[in-house]
Order: sequence, then structure tokens, then C-alpha cells
Amino acid sequence: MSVLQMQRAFGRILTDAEERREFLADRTAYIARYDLAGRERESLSQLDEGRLQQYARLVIATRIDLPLSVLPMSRALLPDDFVDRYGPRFMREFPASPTAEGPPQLREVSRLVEYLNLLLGEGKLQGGQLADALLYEATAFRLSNEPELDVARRAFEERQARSTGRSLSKDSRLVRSPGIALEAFEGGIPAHGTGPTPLRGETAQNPTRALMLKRSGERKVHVFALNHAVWNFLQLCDGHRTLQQVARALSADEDPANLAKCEALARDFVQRGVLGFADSPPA
Amino acid sequence: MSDRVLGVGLGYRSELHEEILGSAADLDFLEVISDQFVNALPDRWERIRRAGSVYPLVSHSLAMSVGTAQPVDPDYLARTAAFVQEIDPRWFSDHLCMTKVEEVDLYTLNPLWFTEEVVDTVVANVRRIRETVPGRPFLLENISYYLAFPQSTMSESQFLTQVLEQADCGLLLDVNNVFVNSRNLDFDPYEFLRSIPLERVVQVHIAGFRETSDLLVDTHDSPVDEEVWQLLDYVCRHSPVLGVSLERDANLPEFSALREELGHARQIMRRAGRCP
Repeated sequence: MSVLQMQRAFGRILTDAEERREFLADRTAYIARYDLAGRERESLSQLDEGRLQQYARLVIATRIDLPLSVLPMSRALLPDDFVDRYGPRFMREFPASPTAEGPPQLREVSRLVEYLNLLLGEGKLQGGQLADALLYEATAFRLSNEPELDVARRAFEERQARSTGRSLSKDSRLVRSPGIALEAFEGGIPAHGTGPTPLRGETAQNPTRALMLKRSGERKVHVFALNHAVWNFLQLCDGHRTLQQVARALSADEDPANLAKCEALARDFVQRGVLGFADSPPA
Repeated sequence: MSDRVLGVGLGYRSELHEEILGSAADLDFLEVISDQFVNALPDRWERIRRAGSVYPLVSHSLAMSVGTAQPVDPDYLARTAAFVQEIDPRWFSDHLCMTKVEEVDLYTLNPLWFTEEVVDTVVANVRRIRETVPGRPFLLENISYYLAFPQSTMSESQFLTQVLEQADCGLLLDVNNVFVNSRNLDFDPYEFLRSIPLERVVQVHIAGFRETSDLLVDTHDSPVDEEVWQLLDYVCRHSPVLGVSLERDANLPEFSALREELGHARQIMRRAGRCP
């Protein structure tokens, strides 16, 4: 069992900068925390400091590279010294765990996105385009890869297929597909490689509102810019309100939107798989 | 194991899906990373089934962590077994290393302490893997590493030899890793090759590396180096290798550049009489 203890100690020293500092400051005291045999103690205590530091940096870069490989626009907007400046804190505050639930890449992407948002909130990273790129890429990745979302989307699409031919009336209640996301972008998304067409971001007061749509069996996430009225319309399609109630709510604070216009919009979105009929209000 | 030669293969990358499907003249088999599929949505599985209808497949895993002094994670192993069952590969493989230990995920392929005790650990884990995935050859791959544990009781080549012989499994020999290690740890790569059981080589990996100020790093993001081609030539002449596969994970070039490298690998296999 003591080889396991030795491997545990090595794992901690390698992945946690604080543990590594304690180890390098007093190797004997650090190693005494573990129940090791003589040669195991000697092996750890003779680890080459330069190589250890070099290797630890490589491990941080490798771990951060995994989620960043699916966030290319965000990666391009991070400072060049991101790994050195912020990598050790990521390793310490968001330790990788082999027993954590969920697919590893999905888990690592959500952890890095959480960490980047934390750094944005603390003002350590410049917001604007980075915040929007991160929101865009993290949403697209989630829509494309989250297993629970995929199950819900498939169930929605099957229900949708069964209701083909169902006529829309003012009493229809409509619900949004779980395969879509409605997001507002304030700083704009830059063009990147073969990525999406850039969305021209504006300001927090006047953001670009977008509908992101992923259908089952398609790899691509479609992105559509929405005007204010359509954005509000989709927000109101929550499975509780009838189409007539949605139309009324819109006409109260926007350009007069009559029921006929809402019906046409709803029909179009039902055809595109964005909206479906809600048989009963969601819980 | 069947000794039918597979030929020249490529690591499957979803970005290259269409080019791969249209390259039957240049490609003989595909190596699929099981970790990229065991948790994937159905549409990704569909793509690999399509690829499998065109090419023979081999399965390669990243995180069994056979060198950790505890049993291989049964959940990970069960998912890998299901993947292997589904895609029906000629063989499956993982690395001779440690990627996790209890609560710590190391996220890289880490070296092992070269001792008898760790040989026993690996052999016991290979036995568990074989019991879970019976009737299918299992290979172990030598890794690149950047830090060696002091107080080992044997060399890397002795360790590798003991593991392969005691576990009775095949070798997936990564010649790029041999070259990178030889430069970083200062040894003669040919002497290393002469001291391991080359008769156990089933598959060979070739790849590119990146040179930093004081290390060569196995990055799979550049063309195969001339010295690595020469190592491949040596291995093809001295082993019963059945398949050589190119690993390219990042900085992907035009597919024609990959085709050229595959063609070069085929020439080397042919010259050694390992490929028709």
C-alpha cells in the first residue's frame, strides 16, 4: 500500500503549487505526512527540483489546454501568460478529480468557464469580447455535448413530430425547445477561423440578442440575431401563457403586436424546431 | 493474435472525418481514442460506426492508469469494454503510466517508479483489464516523460520488458516517445530499442514534438522528425509490427501533408517487408 501513498504524495506535489512549495521548503517534514517505506521516502526526497517545476508547469498547461481546445475564440483573447499567472490558482481552487461525475471534457470546460468568469468578475481579465466569446462558446459546447440536454431535446423533437398537423390557435400554449439558448452579447464576438459569423456586439444597454439552436443529429449550432420584439416573444413562450396572452403582453410594452403577427411568428418557430406545443404547463 | 498486417493508419480526429472517409487509397486502418466516445452523444457514435464500415479500427485509451497501485477504475473499464464491444477493434491499448491516484487526477501520462512492486501492480491491473474485455489483444504503450523517479531498481527498458513478459501482452511502441525521452533523459534510443522485446511489437506510433528551450515535448502538433523516421525504419526491420499509425492532434495541416507522411510510413514498412 505504501507505493499508493508515494503516488498520492507525488500527485499532490505535482498538481498543487502550495503543496509543492511546502515540499520544496522542507522535504523531510512534508514526506513525513505520508506512511512511506525508506526507499520511497528517499525517492521523493531526491526528486530534481528544476525538473519538477518544469513538469508541473507542463501539467497545468496540459490541463488548461483540454477545455481551451473547444473554446478557440476565448483562447485567442486570453493573455499570453495566462497559464503562468492564473494556472496554479485554477489547479488549487478547481482541483481535477477522477471521481467527479460527468464526462471529463464537459466537466473541465464547465470548470474552466466558471474560473474565467470568476477572473472576469474580479477584474483580472478584460471583459468585453472575452466575456461574449466565452458565453458564446460555452453555450454552444453545452448545447452540443450535454447528455441530459440531448435526451430532453430528443424527447421534445419526438413530441413535436407527433404533433405535426396540429393547428395553432390563440389558446395554444407554446414552449421553447431545450436545444436552444437565448443569450445577449454586449461586446461582440470576433470572427475566428471557420467559426461563426461575427455578431456585432454593442453595449450593455443595447446588446445583440441571439438565438442559438442545436438540433439532434446535426453537429452545427445555428445562431440567429433577434430583434427586441422577437426576443421578448420567445421569452414569453414559457409553456404557461397562451398565444393570446403572449400577444397581449407584447402589445402592452412594445410596438402594437397583433395576434396575427404572433401567430405567424409562432408558426415559423414551430417549423424550425425552436418552439413546440405544451400539452401541460411545465413544472 | 492474428498476424495479418493492418498497414498504415491514422488517429481518428473528428475534424478530419470527411477527408478520412475519402482516403481509402492512402489509409489502411484507424486508431480511435475511446475516451472521446465513451461519454459522447449518439451522433458522434454514428460517425465512428461509419468510419468503421470503411476501415478496420483499433481502440486506444488514455486513462486506465495501469500503474496506479490500486485496481483500475471499474466504471471507466466497463465503459471502455462497452466501446470495444461496439466498434470491434483488432486490439485495444493504453499507456504504461499513471494518470490518476485516488482523489487526484493528474491529467497527463505520468512515469512510474521502475521497481518490482510496480511491475506487480501493472501485471495485476492488466489481468483485470483482460478479464473485463476477454478475447481481444491488449497492448501497452511506452510514454514520453519529463521527470524520472530516483531510487528505481531497474531501468525503463528492464521495467518495460518485465511488464510485457509477466503480463504477456503486446507492445504499442511509440518511437517518437523513445526519441523525445532519449534527448530529454540523455540515452541512446537504439540501445533502448535493442534492450526491449521487439518481438512483442504489434503497433507503432509516429508523431511530432515541439522543442522548448530545454526540453522536447511530445505535442503531436508538428510533422514527424527525420530521426523518428529512422527509428521507425529500425523497428520495422527488427519487429513483427502489424500497423504503424500517425498521431496528429493539433495544428492540423492540409490533409495532403498527412497523406505524404502516411506514404512515407508505407514506404518504410514495404522496404522492411512488413507491408504488401
